[in-house]
Amino acid sequence: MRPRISSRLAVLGGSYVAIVMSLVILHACASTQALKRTAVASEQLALSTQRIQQQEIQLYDAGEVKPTDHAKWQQGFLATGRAIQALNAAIRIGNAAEVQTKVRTALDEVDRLLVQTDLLPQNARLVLLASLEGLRAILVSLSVVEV
Amino acid sequence: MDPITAQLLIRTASELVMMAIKAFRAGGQAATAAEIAAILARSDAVAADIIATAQRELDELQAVLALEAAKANEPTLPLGD
Repeated sequence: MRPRISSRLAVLGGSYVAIVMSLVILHACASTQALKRTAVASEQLALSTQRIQQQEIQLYDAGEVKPTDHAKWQQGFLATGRAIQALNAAIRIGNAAEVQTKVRTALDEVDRLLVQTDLLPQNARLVLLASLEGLRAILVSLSVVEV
Repeated sequence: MDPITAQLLIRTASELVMMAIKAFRAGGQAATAAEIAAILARSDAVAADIIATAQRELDELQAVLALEAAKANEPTLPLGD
């Protein structure tokens, strides 16, 4: 003989399920937002880096940057481009720890570029700094909201 | 479980469900998976361009430096008698 389930037990069971489901949905929404913010920051960083790379090439072509400095800059751009691609790959996977590691790597590369920004016009330096700050803010939000 | 706790539990559950529905709607509108994929694709394309440009500049620079080094090491041709 099948036991009867009381209506109160059914309501309580339903409530538990609703709470768990709601928490899962809330977490998923927060994660999606964090991933989107990181993706936007990655795109902004890529665009800023590209803009500064073009400015540096113009300065080199005009003879205002020494070949040895030009080589250092381009090696920096190369490393930053690769760091951005690695970050994007981590965002696609959606692993919080991986994304945070890749954001830190990208930050390190941009920091290395910033050391050389004395060679560039002030506006280029500001663009790079803005991207850097955006990425730092993302890193803080990622540590608050787990992806 | 006493009735008061049960009432509280039900109220908490319904409030959480409402929050989840709102968050799901907001999240769904602002950030779909397709939207994130599109942003990442654009970012990757720009990063690929940065890498290709940097590599080209470095290759050109290496060629120029090699040419200059070769010129510096080139023996001076003796002047004709």
